[in-house]
Amino acid sequence: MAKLTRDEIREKTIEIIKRSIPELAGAELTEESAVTTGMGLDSMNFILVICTLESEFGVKIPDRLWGRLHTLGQVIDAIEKYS
Amino acid sequence: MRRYRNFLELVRSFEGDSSPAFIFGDDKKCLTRGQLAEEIYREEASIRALGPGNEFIVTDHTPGTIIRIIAAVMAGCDIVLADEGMTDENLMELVRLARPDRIFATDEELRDLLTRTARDADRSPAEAADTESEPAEETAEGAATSLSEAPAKAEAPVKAAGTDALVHASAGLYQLPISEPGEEGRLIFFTSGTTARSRAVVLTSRSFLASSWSGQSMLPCGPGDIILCLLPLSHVFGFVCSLLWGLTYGAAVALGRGARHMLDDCVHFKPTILPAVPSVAQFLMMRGALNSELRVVLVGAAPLHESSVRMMRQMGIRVYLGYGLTETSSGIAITQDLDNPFDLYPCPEADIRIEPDGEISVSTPCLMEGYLDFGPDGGLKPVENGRFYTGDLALMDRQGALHLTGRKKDILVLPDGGKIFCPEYEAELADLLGTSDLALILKNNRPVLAIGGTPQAAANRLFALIESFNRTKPLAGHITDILIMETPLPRTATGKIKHWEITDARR
Repeated sequence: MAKLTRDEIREKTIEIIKRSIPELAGAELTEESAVTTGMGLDSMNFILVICTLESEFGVKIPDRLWGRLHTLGQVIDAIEKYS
Repeated sequence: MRRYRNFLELVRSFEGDSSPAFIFGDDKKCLTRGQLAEEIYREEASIRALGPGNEFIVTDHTPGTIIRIIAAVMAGCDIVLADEGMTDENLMELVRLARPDRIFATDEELRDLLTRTARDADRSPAEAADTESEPAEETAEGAATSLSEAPAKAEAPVKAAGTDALVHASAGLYQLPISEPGEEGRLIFFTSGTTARSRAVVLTSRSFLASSWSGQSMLPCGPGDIILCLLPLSHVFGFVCSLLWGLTYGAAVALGRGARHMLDDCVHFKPTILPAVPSVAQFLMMRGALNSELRVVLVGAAPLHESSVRMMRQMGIRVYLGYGLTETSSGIAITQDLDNPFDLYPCPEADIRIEPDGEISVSTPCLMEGYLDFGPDGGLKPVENGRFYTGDLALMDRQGALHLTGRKKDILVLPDGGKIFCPEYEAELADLLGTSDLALILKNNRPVLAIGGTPQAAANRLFALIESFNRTKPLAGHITDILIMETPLPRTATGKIKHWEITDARR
């Protein structure tokens, strides 16, 4: 499978997040959006979202990096790095 | 029930024991107590071979890391514990403060980064730039790096002028008085800090084992129990309740497989006891992720909602809520499975008093040695008179049960002597403004409201709402200013707002 571009990763990530958290359906998400309190995600739901992203992108982000993903941009960076 | 004085006594009790100490991994490997003792002795010998020194340990849930923690303390090393989930920047900052002799982390990349940071902290900027790409030197064990070749470190202890304590010449951890020969090292934990900066708390194997003993007196575990260890081991609640308590009194400790397995670890390991913070306990319950063998949920760090307690009880699970602090090596009071699930009963030997202003003070064998100040004039700041003032407010009823009512620092004292209880003000403001990302701070002796995750364009609307709020309050309690931050307010790992960081930003 061809490697996704950053724009494609961003688009797909936002789509997955909005699907996982229906309250965000109408929200404008940018790379600067905070992925915890800013999106209304508590830490447990954040875990679920990252698990879904890993599964859909077929990547494994090392556990120790999970606590360091604070913005959507950082999530995209991690998916890009470990794809 | 045996009470152990140090880790060596505890590990000796494991010798030849074939009962499980740890269960871990996808294939549920088992390390027996006897094997654990052998591994700890081997690790201790390799640490002793490296020579005296202090260690910075990045904690995770692997047997190797836990073995290292116990072995390093037995070898006489003072250790600083930090969590693998912290940002690189925060870990580096801690390393610069502590200036340890060795770094232990199972993640090689992180270990190299922290080793370089520790070396650079001991060098001039020019020297540091010259050696930026220098690889870390591996020890025999592979997961730790030694910094012993770094220049500008005093190898031998020197006597500090004007004190009886022996201290090393360089800054950092060396300001701790050196342990007597044969004594075990100390464990340094950081408080989470909501109203003040995080503080380095100096604890000992003795204080932790006293905490395990008092916990066991209130809520016994034993052979046949499996305790699921999901909590960070760099927090005292996780270290004592999800690790040491089980190891000390015969339960097997199932080591959680990380965040991605949060939802399936209960079904995988089939624990009988789950120590957890409220958000994790609630999340697992609501998702149907708690296993049928589970009989006890022990909640710490914050209160669990009454409805969650009720639902767990309906599932046949006994719920216990603990109250304690980093400074007291974890719990000093715990609820019992009685009609009122929130009545906290003091642990044995915890001499708890309610001071005239409502603050809880405690004297206990689990108490810290003191705070460690890493500054140039720092060192160990011992607890005066063996009594610690917690900053928490409580009432004690006729039955001797403790009822927490708030934090002393949650109260803003106004110039006219009036007081604002911040949680009440903040709850009212959250309802009015439709956001809970807010905090009340004091500036020039007047209350100021900080709101996070809000665009500056919302200022006029917010001021109008605050005006209506102020009309319901006495003049001295009026909010005089609003600090609008587009980013969310800074929070601790458990989600509490860090008031001090906002206050600092205002200066």
